[in-house]
Order: sequence, then C-alpha cells, then structure tokens
Amino acid sequence: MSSPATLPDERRELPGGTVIWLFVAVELLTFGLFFFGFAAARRSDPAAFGAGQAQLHPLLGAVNTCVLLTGGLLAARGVLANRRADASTAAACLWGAAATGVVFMGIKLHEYGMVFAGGVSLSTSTFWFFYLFVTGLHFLHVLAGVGFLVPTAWRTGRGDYGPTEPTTVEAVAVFWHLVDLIWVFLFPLFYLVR
Amino acid sequence: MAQRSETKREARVLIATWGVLVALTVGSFWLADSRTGSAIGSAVWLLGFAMLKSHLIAIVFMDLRRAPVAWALVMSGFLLFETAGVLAILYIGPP
Repeated sequence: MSSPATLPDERRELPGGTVIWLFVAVELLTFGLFFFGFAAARRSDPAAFGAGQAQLHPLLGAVNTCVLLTGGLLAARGVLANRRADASTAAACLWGAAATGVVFMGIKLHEYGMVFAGGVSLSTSTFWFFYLFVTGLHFLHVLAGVGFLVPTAWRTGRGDYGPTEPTTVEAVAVFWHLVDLIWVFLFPLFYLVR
Repeated sequence: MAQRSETKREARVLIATWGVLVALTVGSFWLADSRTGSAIGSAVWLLGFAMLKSHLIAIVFMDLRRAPVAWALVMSGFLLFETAGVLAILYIGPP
C-alpha cells in the first residue's frame, strides 16, 4: 500500500467528495471575513477590545480547544477504522467525537452564563458583538456537527457504511474537522492576542 | 498483515498529530498568560501556532494528504493568507 504522500495522481481523491469541500471553502471564507472584520475593529478601538477580552476566561477556551482536538482525533480514527471494515471501532470513535461536542457546548454555555451575568449583551460594545456573534455561529456549527455525528455513528455501528461506502463517514468527519479548524483561529484571536 | 501494520502506522500518526496540537494549545495559553515580550511578537507566535495547527488538522485529520495536490495547496495558501491578513490588519498601517 502506498503512503499518502506518495499516492499517484490518479489515486488521489477528496475524502468525503467534492461537495463537502466546496462547503468547507465557503465556510472558511465566511469566517475568514469575520476574523478580518474583528481585527479591523480591534485596531480602531484597542481599549474597548482589551477591556472586553479581560473579561473572558482563556483557560476555559484552552480546555475547549483540547476537547475539540480530541474530538478531531476520534473522528479521524473513526474514518480510518471504517476504511478497514472495523465497524464497532469506527462507531465507538464517532460516538466519542459526538460526546466531545457535547462537552464543548457545556463548557461554552457555562462561559456564556458568566458573561451574561456580568451584564453583557450584543450591543454592549463592538468587541462583545463580534465575540457573541462569531462564537455563537461557531456554537451552532458544533451543534450541527453533533447532529450529523450521532446518526452516522449509529448507522456505522449497524454496518451501513464500511470501506465500500465511506463517503458519508468521511464527509461528516470533514465537517467536524472544519469546526476544529475555525476554532483554532478563533481561540487565539479572541482570547489571547493582545 | 501489511494492511494491519499500515493501519497501526496511520493510527500512530493521528495520535502524534493530536499530541502536537495539544502541546501547541498549551504553549499558546502559557505564552499569552505569561505576557512576556511585545504584543506584536506575542501575536505573531500565537497566530503562527494557529496556522501550524490548522495545517496539521487540514493535512492529517482532514486527510488532504490523499487529495489532489492542488486542493492541499489552495488550503495551505488560504490559511497562510488568513494569518498574514489578520496580523497585517492588527499591526501594520494606519488604524
């Protein structure tokens, strides 16, 4: 078997199919524009952004990053097991990935609770508008990811997929990794960069 | 037998990648928490780590290693552009 790096061109293909990757492109461009907007707004009002950032909890953000990365590892391991016709391992990994999504949302809701208890709303300042809007949009992506992972894990365990029918599992995993990818930029930009 | 050893090797690559991603996350948190150096220097490191992490996710977790090379190049180019763009907007030129 060829290693991925040495695969000949004719055997190279997009995991999950072209459509999910076009979706990934649109999503990355959208969030990319939000990140540019956030940077521009921060440049024009650094004091308000610094004050807002000081109310965040970077440790919770870091923990949530590790939770999502663990979900990413499990989803990738699930794809690998599905390709090798190991349905029980693949299903267990996908269930595990979904569980990390639930943990992420639990921590995020706890964080939102602390922020709202401090009297913050979308209109408090430009920082809070960006923070609540962009992290809220990301939260909805995590929710959707869990919504895709759960039935996929269930059907994988039932033997509906496997090496001859890998597209669904791969596409769901790609979506889940997109959620990771967005967060690894969002976390330092909103929580850490001074 | 060959397929099983290939699977084990692939699984090890995934776990090693996850280890690097977690280490970069902990490093980012520590760097920001210690507040050492200038804001610009710190931002370059933090967003540089984010770019490295996003590449690892795209190439290893999302399996772009198996995709047509053009897709991997476009993804890498976009992630580089995004990082450089954010840094440029934050620190270069008039506010």
